[in-house]
Amino acid sequence: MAAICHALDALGGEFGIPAQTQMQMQIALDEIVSIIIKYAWPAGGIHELLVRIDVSHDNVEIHAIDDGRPFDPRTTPAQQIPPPGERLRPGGLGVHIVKQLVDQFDYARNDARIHTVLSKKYRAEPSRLGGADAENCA
Amino acid sequence: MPKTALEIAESRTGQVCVVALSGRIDSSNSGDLMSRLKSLISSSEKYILVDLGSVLYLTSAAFRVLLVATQEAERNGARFALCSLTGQVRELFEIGGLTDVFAIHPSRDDALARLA
Repeated sequence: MAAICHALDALGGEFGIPAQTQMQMQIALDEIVSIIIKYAWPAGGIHELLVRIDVSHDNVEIHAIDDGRPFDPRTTPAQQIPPPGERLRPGGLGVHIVKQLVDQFDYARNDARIHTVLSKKYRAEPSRLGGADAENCA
Repeated sequence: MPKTALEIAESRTGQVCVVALSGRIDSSNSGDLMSRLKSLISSSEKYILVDLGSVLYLTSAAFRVLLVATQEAERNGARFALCSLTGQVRELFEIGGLTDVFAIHPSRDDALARLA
């Protein structure tokens, strides 16, 4: 994840992506990778995940391509907020957050690979150009 | 640009152990935070305050850590609270519908006045 985090930071500076948009895409990507690891590879083992980031002048698109079992994260039931006094049950929160943060959330199965695509429009901020800080990703 | 790696700093004000977090909290470092909080809870701290004022963002992995810590603190008879949610962090709590799930105080001073 640190390598991807660095890449997104660098692209954010290169294209003037607003800090908030960049953070939202970082969060969405972290959620999707976590979901793939948990649901697409339930037995663990060695797997392949390719992350491709396409940036145009007004759109960020992240492709996560994995070799796991078919699992469409968009079908995860919406998070249930418990009534006061009852505890929140973990699960579904990550997908819920992704749906709120990105403009488009697509899923497809091609050539035995699962393609998850997240995209979000942005308006470039000239003040951000060249301002990437990729030194401190965890 | 602010520092973005997760940093965890502990201090004490009266009986309250304050855990100040800064940077990003995601799936790659949430385990570190869980270890620190579990360690505090198991060492019989009775008041634990997590200050999120310098956190850039957090993911569901961090929310799970805070939920587990809240539940473990309850089981140990400790009070576990959060403070200083601002900007993107507050929005994420709102998106997750979590503002009523935790004990959240507007500032560290407010939290210390109520906890200590």
